[in-house]
Amino acid sequence: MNPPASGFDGLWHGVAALVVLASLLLSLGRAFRARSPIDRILAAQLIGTAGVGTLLLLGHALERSRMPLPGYLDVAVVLAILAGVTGIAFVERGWQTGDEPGGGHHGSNEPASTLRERPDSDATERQPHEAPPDEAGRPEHRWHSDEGGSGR
Amino acid sequence: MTGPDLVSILLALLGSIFFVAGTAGLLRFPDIYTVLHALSKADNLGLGLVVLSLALRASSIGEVFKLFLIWFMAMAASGTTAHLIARRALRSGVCPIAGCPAAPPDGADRA
Repeated sequence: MNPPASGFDGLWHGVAALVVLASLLLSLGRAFRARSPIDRILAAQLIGTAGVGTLLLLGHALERSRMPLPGYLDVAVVLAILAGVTGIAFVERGWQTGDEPGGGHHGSNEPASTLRERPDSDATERQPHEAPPDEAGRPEHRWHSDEGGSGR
Repeated sequence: MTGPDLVSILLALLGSIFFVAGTAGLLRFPDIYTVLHALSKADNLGLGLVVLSLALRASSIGEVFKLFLIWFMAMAASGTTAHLIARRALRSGVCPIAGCPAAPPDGADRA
């Protein structure tokens, strides 16, 4: 703000922008190597927020430099709104049954409306003498995510 | 360098640390629910600190308003999305790492 410091005005904000950008790149790698679509959408959520943060910091850091980013605030508003739309659209339209880690139903394309009947229909597929139905209805692999195998 | 400038820089650096913490949560936390917790809290706190930092240096009141609009939008979006993802995951039978508190007896529709 005061003239003598104006040469380094945005320096530390630029440093902060680079730190946020580094964390954004890490989560981009996570999205690339994700084990399930849910992992991927979680990483995308973080990329959305970190992208807005990077844009704000970078736009401010470059504001008084030789190459300013005009209108970066408006772009950040649009990004913040679209980041929410992504997640909602994924949950409502893109989430197929079996996408969840450890769901055990990979490849099935039944619509979301049949989701609630799944444990029952699963139980009727089994042989009646195999196990009592209340235990056959929830096998171990369904109720525990594969994700946390190392954490337990 | 004046006082508000210094505070603004400190807030920006603190905010970037929270972003790094959110990414660490995404990479290291074991299941969907804990990752959601890291994303929707750490990240939005980091964005909030960045917004505060930039609001201290804003040149007009309209800029401040836009900055807080961005923060509000990001919080509303991530809160809604986190709730939707967690509810959908619970209904389709993904258990939290601590174990399912009450495994629904007939169909996993009691979320």
